[in-house]
Amino acid sequence: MTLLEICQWLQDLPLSQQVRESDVLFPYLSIAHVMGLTLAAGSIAYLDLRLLGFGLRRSPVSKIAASLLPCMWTGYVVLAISGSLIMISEAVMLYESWFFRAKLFMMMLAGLNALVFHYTVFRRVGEWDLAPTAPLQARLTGAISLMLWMGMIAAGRAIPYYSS
Amino acid sequence: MLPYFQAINDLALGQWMRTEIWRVPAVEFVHLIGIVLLFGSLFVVNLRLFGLVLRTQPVAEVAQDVAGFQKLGLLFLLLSGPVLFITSAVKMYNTGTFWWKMGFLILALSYQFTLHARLVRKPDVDITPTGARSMAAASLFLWFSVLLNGMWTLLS
Repeated sequence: MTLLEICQWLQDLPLSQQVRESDVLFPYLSIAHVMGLTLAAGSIAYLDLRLLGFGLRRSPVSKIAASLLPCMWTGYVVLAISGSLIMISEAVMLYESWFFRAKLFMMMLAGLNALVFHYTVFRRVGEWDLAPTAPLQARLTGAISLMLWMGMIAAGRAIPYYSS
Repeated sequence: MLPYFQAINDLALGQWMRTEIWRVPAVEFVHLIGIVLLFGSLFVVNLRLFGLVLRTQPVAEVAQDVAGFQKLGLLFLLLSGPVLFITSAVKMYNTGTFWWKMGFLILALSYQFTLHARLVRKPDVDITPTGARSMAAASLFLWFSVLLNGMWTLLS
C-alpha cells in the first residue's frame, strides 16, 4: 500500500465521510482546533518568551513550565483530536499539499526541540531559574520554538487557500 | 446601512486584498498570532486569579509582566481585523455572528481595561477570592465569546 492509497482509505472511512457530509461537524472541529491552539501555543509562547528574557521575567522558569504544563497538554490533545478528524476527512487533498507537509515537518521539529530541551539544559534549571539571561541553549530553544509555531500556524492557514 | 457596507467592500484596499490569493491568509496569520498572544496572556492572568498557576508570584506582578505582549497581541488583532472586514464587508453585514462578535468585543475591551485592570492591580483589596474568581471567569467568557463568534463568522 502506498501512502496515497492509505490516504484514500482514510478518506473513505465512514467517520471521514461523516465529517465531510455534516453541516456542523467541520465548523465545530475547526473551532475546537483554534481553541486548542490558544491553549497550546498561548502557553508555549509565554514560556518561550521567558526563555528569551521577555514577559514573565520575574517568575522562575521551572514554575512557569510546571504550572503551564496542564494547559499545554490539554491544548495538544484538543489539537490532535480535532486535527486528526479534519485530516482524515480530506486526506487525499492534504497528501498533495506542500503546506500540510511543511506543517507536519515543523510539528516533528517542534517536538524534537522540546524533547532535547527537556533532557539537557532544563535538567539544570535550578542553576538559572531566575537568571535574567537564560543559558544560550535555552534561549535558542525558545527562539526555535516560537519560529516553528509561527510556521505551523502560517502553513495551516495557507492549506485551504492552496488546495485544488 | 447596507450601502455603507457596500462602499467599504468596494474600497481600494478591499479590492487589493481580493486580487491575489495569498493576501487574505497572510492577514489571517497576523490575526492568529494576535489571538495566540492575547489568549495566552488571558490564560496566565486569569488562571493566576483562580490560583491555578504561578501561585508563588503576586497577581499584580504576573499581570504587569504579560501586559506588554497582551497589548502587542491586541494591536495585531486591531490592525488585521479591519483589513479582513474591508475585504468582505458585505458578507459581514449579512452574518449575524459578526454583529455578536462586535458586541462582545466592545464588552470585553471595556471590561478588560476598567474593572479587570483594577482588580489585577490591587488583587487583595476589596474583593473576596470568590469575587476574584468570578471576575477571572467573566474575562475568559467575554473573550471566548468574541473568538467563537469570529470563528463562526469565518466559517459561514
